[in-house]
Amino acid sequence: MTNLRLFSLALALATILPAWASAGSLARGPYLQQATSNSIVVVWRTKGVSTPVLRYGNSPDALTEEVSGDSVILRVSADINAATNIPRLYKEPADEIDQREADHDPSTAANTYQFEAQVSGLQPDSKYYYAIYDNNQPLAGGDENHYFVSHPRIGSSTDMRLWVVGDSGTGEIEQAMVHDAMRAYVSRTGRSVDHYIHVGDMAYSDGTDREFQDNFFAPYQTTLRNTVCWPAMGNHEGHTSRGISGIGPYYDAYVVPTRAEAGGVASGTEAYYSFDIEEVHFTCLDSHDLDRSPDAAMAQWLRADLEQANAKWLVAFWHHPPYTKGSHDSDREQQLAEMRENFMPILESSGVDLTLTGHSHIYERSMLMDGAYDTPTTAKGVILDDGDGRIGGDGAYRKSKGLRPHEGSVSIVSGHGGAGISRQGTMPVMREIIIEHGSVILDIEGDTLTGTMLNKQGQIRDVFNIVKRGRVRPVRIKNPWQPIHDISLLTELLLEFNDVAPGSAPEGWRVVSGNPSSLAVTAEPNGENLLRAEANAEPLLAQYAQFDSSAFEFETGIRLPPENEKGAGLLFGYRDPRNFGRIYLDPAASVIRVSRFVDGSENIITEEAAQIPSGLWLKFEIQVTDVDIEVQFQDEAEQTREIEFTIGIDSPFPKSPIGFYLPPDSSAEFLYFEFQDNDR
Amino acid sequence: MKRCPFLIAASAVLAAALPASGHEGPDHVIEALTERIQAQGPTAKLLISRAYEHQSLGNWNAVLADFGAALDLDSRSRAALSGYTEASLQLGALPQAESMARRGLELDEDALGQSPFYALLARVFAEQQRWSDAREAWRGALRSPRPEIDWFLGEAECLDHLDRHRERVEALLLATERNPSVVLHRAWIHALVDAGDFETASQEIENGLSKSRWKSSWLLLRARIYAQRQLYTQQWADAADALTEIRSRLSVEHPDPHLVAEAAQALAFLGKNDEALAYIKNARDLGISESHLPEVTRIIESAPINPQGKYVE
Ligand SMILES: [Fe+2]
Repeated sequence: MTNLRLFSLALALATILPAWASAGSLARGPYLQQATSNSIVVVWRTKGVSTPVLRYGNSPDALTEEVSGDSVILRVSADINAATNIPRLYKEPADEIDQREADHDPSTAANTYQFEAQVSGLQPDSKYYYAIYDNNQPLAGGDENHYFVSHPRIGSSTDMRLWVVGDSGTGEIEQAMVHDAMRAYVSRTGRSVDHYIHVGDMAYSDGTDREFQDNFFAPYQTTLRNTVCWPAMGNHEGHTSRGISGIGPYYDAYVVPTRAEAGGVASGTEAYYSFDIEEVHFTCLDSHDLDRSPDAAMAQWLRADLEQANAKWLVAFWHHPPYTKGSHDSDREQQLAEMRENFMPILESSGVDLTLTGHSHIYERSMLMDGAYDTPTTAKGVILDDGDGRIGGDGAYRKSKGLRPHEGSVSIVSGHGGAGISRQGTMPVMREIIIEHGSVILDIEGDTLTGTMLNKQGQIRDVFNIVKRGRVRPVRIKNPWQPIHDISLLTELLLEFNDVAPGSAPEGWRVVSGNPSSLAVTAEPNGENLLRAEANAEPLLAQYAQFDSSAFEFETGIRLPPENEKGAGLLFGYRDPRNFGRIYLDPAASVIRVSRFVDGSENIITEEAAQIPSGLWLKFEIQVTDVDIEVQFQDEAEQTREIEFTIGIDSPFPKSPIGFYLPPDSSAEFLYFEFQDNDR
Repeated sequence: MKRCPFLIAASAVLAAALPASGHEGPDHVIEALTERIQAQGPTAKLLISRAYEHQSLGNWNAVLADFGAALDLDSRSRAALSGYTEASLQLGALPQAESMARRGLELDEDALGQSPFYALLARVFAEQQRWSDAREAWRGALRSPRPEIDWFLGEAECLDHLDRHRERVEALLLATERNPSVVLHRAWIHALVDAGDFETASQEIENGLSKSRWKSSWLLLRARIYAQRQLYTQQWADAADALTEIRSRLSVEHPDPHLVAEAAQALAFLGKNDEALAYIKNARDLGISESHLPEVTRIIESAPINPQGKYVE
């Protein structure tokens, strides 16, 4: 935190250091923060006390300059007996510790010392190598990999590469692959990443100090040691850090401008801030836990900031996307809607070019759009260019030179950096919707911006350009191109039948065995529609053809006719009418039976005792993975005991559409089907 | 107006319920938490987590119910108390919000712990236009070593309503010493104008004008000074310049509500009263709160010479 006053480090350490203190070991970093054209902050931590020294210079063997003493801000974990003017790293208040899982204390580990070396007097646009020490004892650096590059002067011609990542901090393989894919891409293209923007959710699940270490600093260390990460706080960091008072592991980890240290105007808080690099003005907002109303401090600050911003490009970033139908829905969720309704007008009336967000675990990239503030979001009257925005394709999105109001911006949801991805709908302003892990590379050169979506395998999955040249008069497109609402691409789907005329068959269903005319929608006395199925002398096997998966969750509301002793089952892993998986509600035997049919013969995997009432709505849920099947069953009114069991399977079922099974001469009714694809 | 709740306590309790899967939309989380609550029985932490999810969907009654149930299990939970107060505020249950905020104040002795509850209390009073009480509550919140910028603004707003402009200037000056936010600095300049300290204000305005690409907010502030000094030619000139700039930024179909409000102010300064009132109505419809609408009627009423007809666009 830069707004804490400097203090005499020598004095401070003197009060802490016992004479016999042994050297501290490196516990985090070193990493870079708050670069400007003449300064930068190098941050690291040691476990155990140490005397921080940073040396830097023009080559790894000539680290001629030194930062130490008063120019290094010290922060310590709460257990350390240090002078009261030394800022403390996060310690969870006692009354909240009680509420946590035992192994989930978000506090900083004991005996932690954080050092923030304030490097100043740098030449603009220059590369410096550095090393950090405990007194004279090297801790890290002094090689080709530890360097920082000061920014070119603000206003000098733009030539930068940015890496944009969101929702990545799982510590899992996908996160590492996305990072590796970026590193391979920059080495392939011969241009390194100059700046890194993280749009939040960088330390799952709760942004604890330890999760920051394991899921952010450790996995990205090779990038962080020579690239500044400019962060936006995600809701998962918000589980332990608070924008209101600027405390928590997130605020401990980052040093961002509060007094316009890097351009822009003073925000007085690390929760939102702005900075300038070359001809680009960047604005970061806190969409999570601050007042998002149009009159509150953050909106007032944004207006003041943009009044002064005198750049050629304007890029804004925060966590909760204004437009999305990925794992989150901007038409329904308040934080997302408020960012759209209250902040997009301010940004667009100041000429924003690009908004970068995450939160929704998907890649969604819009057309060139302006003024989409309504809820729900539609494409009507808000699209200025519905092409692919590609030089060499439909052509780049065109805007006038400079920052001119309402000439359109591109909205990117980059929430695909590592956490599980999903899609629950189609956001009509989007040009590209991709359910793959990845990240975004932004190249801004002079008047041309190129956005590239790189998936975790390193493949380029989307490219678009914005060119800002001359004077362009925006025209709103009457009937813009629309992304296809292709149900088979969704990963989450709720099927109901209220839109289907009673008497007709619902779309997307296929009878794979039995009488094809035995599926129809009927109306309940209460006006709700349901799907009724009847089997004649043959069993009826029906599938919802648009939902294809081998790892999935599937739930339905099913009602067996009164006095039904025949039952019904859920159908999956289907190859042909003689080979499939089935989970069967058998009222006569009072069991739920999980079976695999092989060449027509039934191999029972397990049977679980269960009372199967007829004439009642039943909630029947299954979850299938490669290794097991989980079943949950209860009547809707919860009059019977809930049945829940998991059974291992020796080999996976094949990928297939999901459906149901009725035995001969029986019927059943279905109120809804809910699918969730876990294949991805 | 929707305001973000002042989250006091964190909600890391979600951790166990929720891996970083793709299915972390609020509906999924609510479902997962509901299942856990049914299976394990309710705990304060599960209920609080679910309340936050309901909150993200704006279901304030459900929020209130879950925080209430959490308080039944843990009457001293800061998260539940502040959440319950916030939900009561959102639902307009002001006496209930007041008593819950007071309960929160009793949890802690120290200023840091009490400050969020003072802030909630201040908002309850402001909602009731009890400006003196609200001011006192904001002062309680501001005893925190890390006060929120909005709290300083809250106190200043009360003093504005109480017409205590000199005190407002002082309070905001102190605020700028504690926090460098440009928002506080600008609130201070506004207060200077209201307090009649035109000289200091003018210096700040000229400084702001020289640094800004968009100048309308500064021009309108300067027009206010001209209006109070009865320098109408200058007032009209600034208002006209402001209006030209605002119109160049105002998308007709998709306006920024604040620019609409500014346009209303500029029109009022130009004596175009009917148009000004129409813009004010528009800004109000677009969600600008009453206390932040420029006092167009006051401008209209206080102008001794109606400049209608003298100004030619
Ligand atoms: Fe998120």
